[in-house]
Amino acid sequence: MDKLDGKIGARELFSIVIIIIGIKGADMTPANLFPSGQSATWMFPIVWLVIMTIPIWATLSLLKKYKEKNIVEIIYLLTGKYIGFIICLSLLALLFTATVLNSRSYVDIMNVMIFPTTPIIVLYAVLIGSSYFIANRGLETIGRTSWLLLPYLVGGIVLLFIILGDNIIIEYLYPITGPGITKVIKSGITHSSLIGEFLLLAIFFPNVRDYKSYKKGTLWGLLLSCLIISLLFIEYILIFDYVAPQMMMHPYSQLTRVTEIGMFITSLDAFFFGLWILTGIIRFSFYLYGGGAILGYTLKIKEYEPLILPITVLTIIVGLIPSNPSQTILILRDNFLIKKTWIYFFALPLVLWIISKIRGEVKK
Amino acid sequence: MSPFFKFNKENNKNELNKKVLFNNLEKNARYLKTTFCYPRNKGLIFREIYVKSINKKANIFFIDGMANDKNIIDHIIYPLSEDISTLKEEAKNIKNIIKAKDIKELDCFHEIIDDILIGNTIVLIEGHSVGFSVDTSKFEHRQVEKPIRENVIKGPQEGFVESSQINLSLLRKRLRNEKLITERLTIGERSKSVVEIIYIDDLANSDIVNEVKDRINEIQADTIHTIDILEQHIEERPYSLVPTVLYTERPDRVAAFLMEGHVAVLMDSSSDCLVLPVTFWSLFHTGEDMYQRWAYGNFIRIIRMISLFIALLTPSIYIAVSTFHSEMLPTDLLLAITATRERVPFPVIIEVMIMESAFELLREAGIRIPTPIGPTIGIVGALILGQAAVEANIVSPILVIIVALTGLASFAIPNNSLNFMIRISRFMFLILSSMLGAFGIMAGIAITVSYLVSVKSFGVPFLAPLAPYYPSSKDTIFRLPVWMQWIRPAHVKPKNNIRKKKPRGRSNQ
Repeated sequence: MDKLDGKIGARELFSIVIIIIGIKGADMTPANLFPSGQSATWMFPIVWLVIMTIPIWATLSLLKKYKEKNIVEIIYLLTGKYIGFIICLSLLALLFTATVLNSRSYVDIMNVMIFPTTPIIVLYAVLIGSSYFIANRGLETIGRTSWLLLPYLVGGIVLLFIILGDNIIIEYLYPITGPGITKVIKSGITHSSLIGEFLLLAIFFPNVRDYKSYKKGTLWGLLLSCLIISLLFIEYILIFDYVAPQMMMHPYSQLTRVTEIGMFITSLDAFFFGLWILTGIIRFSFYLYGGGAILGYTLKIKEYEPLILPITVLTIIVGLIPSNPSQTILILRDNFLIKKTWIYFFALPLVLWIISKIRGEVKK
Repeated sequence: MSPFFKFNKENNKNELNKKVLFNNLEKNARYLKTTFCYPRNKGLIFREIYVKSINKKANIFFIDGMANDKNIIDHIIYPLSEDISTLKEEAKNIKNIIKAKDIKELDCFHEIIDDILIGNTIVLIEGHSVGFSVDTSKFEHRQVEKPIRENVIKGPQEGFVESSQINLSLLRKRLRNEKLITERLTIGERSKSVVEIIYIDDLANSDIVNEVKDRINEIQADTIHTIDILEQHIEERPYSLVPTVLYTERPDRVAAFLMEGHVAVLMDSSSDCLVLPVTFWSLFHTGEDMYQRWAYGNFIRIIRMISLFIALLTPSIYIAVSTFHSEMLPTDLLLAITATRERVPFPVIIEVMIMESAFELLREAGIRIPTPIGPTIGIVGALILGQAAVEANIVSPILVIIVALTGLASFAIPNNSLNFMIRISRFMFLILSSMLGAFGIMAGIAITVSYLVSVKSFGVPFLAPLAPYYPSSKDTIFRLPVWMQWIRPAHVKPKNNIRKKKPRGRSNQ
């Protein structure tokens, strides 16, 4: 009955997945999606789930086959020393870019919305510094913190929906297929790398109690995250119609500005902002920890915890570079990080799975 | 400690161990007298008597004030000097003659000295190379009284006192179980103290029991005379704000904890008991939560949970809202606040700091002040904090409300250690929120929560059974009706997880 073995269970994994993926409905992602999705943007998460079923299944079956091995070790095993190294490095580069761009977008949102006079470096340091503090205490801590705070975060979203209940206009949902169903599917597919984190999670497979918990945690987490993203998108459409969110960098903040309860409380945006930034801090702590883990496994360093600090510092340094962050991030993120990488997340697990099949045949 | 000292200590012990009693009464008596600096030391009482029945001289040693005089006279001196020549020859054993509840033979000087020091009386007989140690210890202590720190309205009103004998009897009164074990350990190098470790053998996890014993045995200290010092020796993180040992004066709570598989530690001269391992919930709960009916118990828990957050966050939320997020306030209130703050020359953070420090000052002064002049503090406090400070434009009136609310809420936190933890963390949140508003508060919360989940008390996660999840009777923020709490908390790793049969019909699992 002793569970204190440094491993996380299905519950912790589930909450981590929701926090790192579900939050995408509330960061700058909508700004990337609304121009192509219009009033059908809320269908995107469903498309992602459908598209990514195959690679997710491939990853799961790979993990099941090579017990006790994480994805980096599996990549090395299947593709060899050199190609494996390149693949792992590309995974690391992707993760690092995502961390930098996302964290910078967070800092930018904060800077624009609430702290116009605070130096960016201070915001950046506090955000990533707190994340580093959590990441440094290990995956167990990240998991437990997420599990403990998840009810409040989800409760916050529910509360947001309830408060905004008065302001919605159902008719805004129409036309229900937006720019046309084929366009939605096409655009959905190119954006499906937004749930590419499932590949990142596979690094921590040995840190999860067993395969069953891993499967349960990941699948339910992905499902619920997509639901949350979808609901948030629906909420944006219901409040703003589909035209305005195309222009908004951060519809979530705009949404929370509308919150008012009765005559007395005119705006609850600081409260919702607080929940949002809390999620962000945990999210980046996972990214930082994941970065450290991939780097450690790629370079075959057993104790990878000390690698988190250099990654943290590097994140802040690189993140401070863009001078027009809104545009830089929007364009970089959309054109490079999301649209170009879906094929990577889609193909890599499949290729690995095929290689493992062929090798298995050969061995027999 | 460095190996050098360790070596020294072992050496000393070995030397003492070797010293056995002589076959000569005079020599033995002289040795003991020299050890205790008799006759300069008036504490040691030494008496010579003649044992008629065996025609031998005997010496009696005990320490004044530690032993019960009446017992010594009735059970030792009187029987020894009585003529019992009618008795059969084989019954003429000293152990038979002395009438006491406990008597043992000792043949080493260090054992004899230790026994004298815990209040026993030593009888040395001519021609014997053993000493008889008779249990006569008796210390002064107060009677069982009401608990002072942990008051309840409904429930037993007995508290521990400064005598482990009475404390144990208070515990055993509540737990009549043959597996309730009391183990004794001696600690302290110069002044010996007895520590009692109490647990239920077929419930408490042996690893935890051993861990507790190891930690107590590892202590290297001159003397540990109270359990409060012992707590600091065995706790988990000495520099952390988070307490990892529960300190309670209520025997009923300790009994309840023992039944869950926790371990309790008592010490002779302390009116408190340590319970370990603990979780946040053990610190947050009071005995009354269970004694009150289900709805009432949950109600007081909600109140306490709210007050915990009020005590921790209200001042920082005030700063955040009034400095960074003023759009949150309705315009009228905002204008009112601004109007009262108009003449105050300080920034909000300074204002809050002044008032919070003043309140903490008042609180500390209230504890230290001699009782006869106690009421003064209320008057001074109310005047300084309430009226005068506002009239002098040092603080704004709304701040008085905030600080008073915070102070009031902090009184509702039941545990002393938890109370300090919250009150000190409050200042950290103050600084964070004055710098970055809601962002600062949330960063603080994220860090605090992640720190709390990683703290362990004797191998048990501090926020279990919530994070990480463990099967338990869900006795955390809320509680179930008592009849539904059929499962012992699994995070304490008890040997037997089931309290009683699963209630039929509805279940909590």
